[in-house]
Amino acid sequence: MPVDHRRIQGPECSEDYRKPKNLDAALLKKGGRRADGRKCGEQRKIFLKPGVVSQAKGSAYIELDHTKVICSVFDPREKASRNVEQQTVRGEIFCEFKFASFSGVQRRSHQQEADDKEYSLLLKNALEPAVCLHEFPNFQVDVQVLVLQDDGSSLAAAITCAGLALADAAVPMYDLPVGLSKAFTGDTEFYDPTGAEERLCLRGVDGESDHGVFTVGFLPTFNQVSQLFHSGHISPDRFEKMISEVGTLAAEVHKAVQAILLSAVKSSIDSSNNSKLLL
Amino acid sequence: MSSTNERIICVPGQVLCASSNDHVAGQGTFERMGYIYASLAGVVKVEKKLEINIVQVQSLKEQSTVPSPGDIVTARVLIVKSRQCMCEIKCIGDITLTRPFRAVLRQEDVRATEKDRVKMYESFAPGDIILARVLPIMDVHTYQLSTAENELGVVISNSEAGVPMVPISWTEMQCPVNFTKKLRKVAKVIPENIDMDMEDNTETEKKPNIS
Repeated sequence: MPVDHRRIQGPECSEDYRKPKNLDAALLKKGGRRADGRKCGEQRKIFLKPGVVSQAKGSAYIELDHTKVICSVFDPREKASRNVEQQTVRGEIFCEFKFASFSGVQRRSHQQEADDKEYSLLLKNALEPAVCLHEFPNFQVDVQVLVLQDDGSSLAAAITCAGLALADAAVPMYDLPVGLSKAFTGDTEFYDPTGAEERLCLRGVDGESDHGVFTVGFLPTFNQVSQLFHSGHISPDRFEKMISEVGTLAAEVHKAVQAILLSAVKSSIDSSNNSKLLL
Repeated sequence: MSSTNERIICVPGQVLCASSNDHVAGQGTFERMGYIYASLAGVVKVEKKLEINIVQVQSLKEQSTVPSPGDIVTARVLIVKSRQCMCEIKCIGDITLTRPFRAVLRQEDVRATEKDRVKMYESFAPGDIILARVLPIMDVHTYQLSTAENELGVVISNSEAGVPMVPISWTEMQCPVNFTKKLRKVAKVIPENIDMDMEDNTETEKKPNIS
């Protein structure tokens, strides 16, 4: 389809420029509880399962209440040589992030849109530091993420899911990456936001300067942040405070991922009847 | 870590032990800041070699094999050009690959002697199965192969009749159906069962030599 490069394309849909006066009543009930009954600093219950896609070398499925993400990792293949000048002998991770057409309230395109491409790059930045790229020189590992249902924190869920899928695919890694997200506006912070909370915090509340959604890719063992994405407005002190909290918040998710992986390995050992591994 | 039946299971990023002169990081592990960490999800194995404990992690899924320099690979010749031929690596050693890798075999690497006088058309043909060795990676995108050894070269080659040809010398192969000779760089493949009785061998291998 011919694209017009001369004119500046406006957004396809329009939004009211006025910010809401106060936090929507539906979002914060009495007693400081959120719409789904959680406290502001509480994570949704995680459901994780590795080895769900039979055609892929490794795969994982994550559910955070209504956010459902599935990730598949494929065997290393030769790098699609785009840059002949890029003479690196390192391996590469090729991420493809996609919101399914049925994942949100409005139908999305079946091809990658602008935010799919942006999230692909963010996911790649989050996963790259965790993978031992020198172990497969000149090859690329394909990571395909599909968001089946989006109810907030989909990028964070994708990072966690992709980390588990990479471990399931026996790709050598330095650490299990974990994704976290926080939405905030003014003084109110929603940890692991739902879709409605995210949308409100992206626009901000009238009169409050700090707002936005913060997504972090974190490597728990080495206490390193691999990827940080913030959309909105934040003061430097607030920023520092948020970064310092990431470690403790990530520990919970990391424990869950570790436990799932260990039990998956254990059940594979038991099912193979100790035949191959004893050699 | 958790153990079942005295086996230690680990996940990537888990600390295994402190690294020292006795304990060395092996396959599936990496060393950092004086400690050995696991890089795969699997079972921890400690191998003792000359009083050094090599700490390894064995994953349940086979780690994807990638051709590395020095490996002997089985490849199929795709295109033969005047100075090189393009091949597709099918197996590395005994392991058959799920995804074939592209490789290049240059004129200088076909033989050990008289390298510049080699004619590619007289050494390989498209569709031949060859045994070759992987050379150290020079080019970023393709592997480089070498058949400059007696044991390397064409193993299976089909004639125009569609029948596998029989090697008659190190440079010729003959079709058993129409007896035409073709020039190839033949590999010295030593069969697994060798009949050491030389007399029997010459009788069974007698073939009409009509040129």
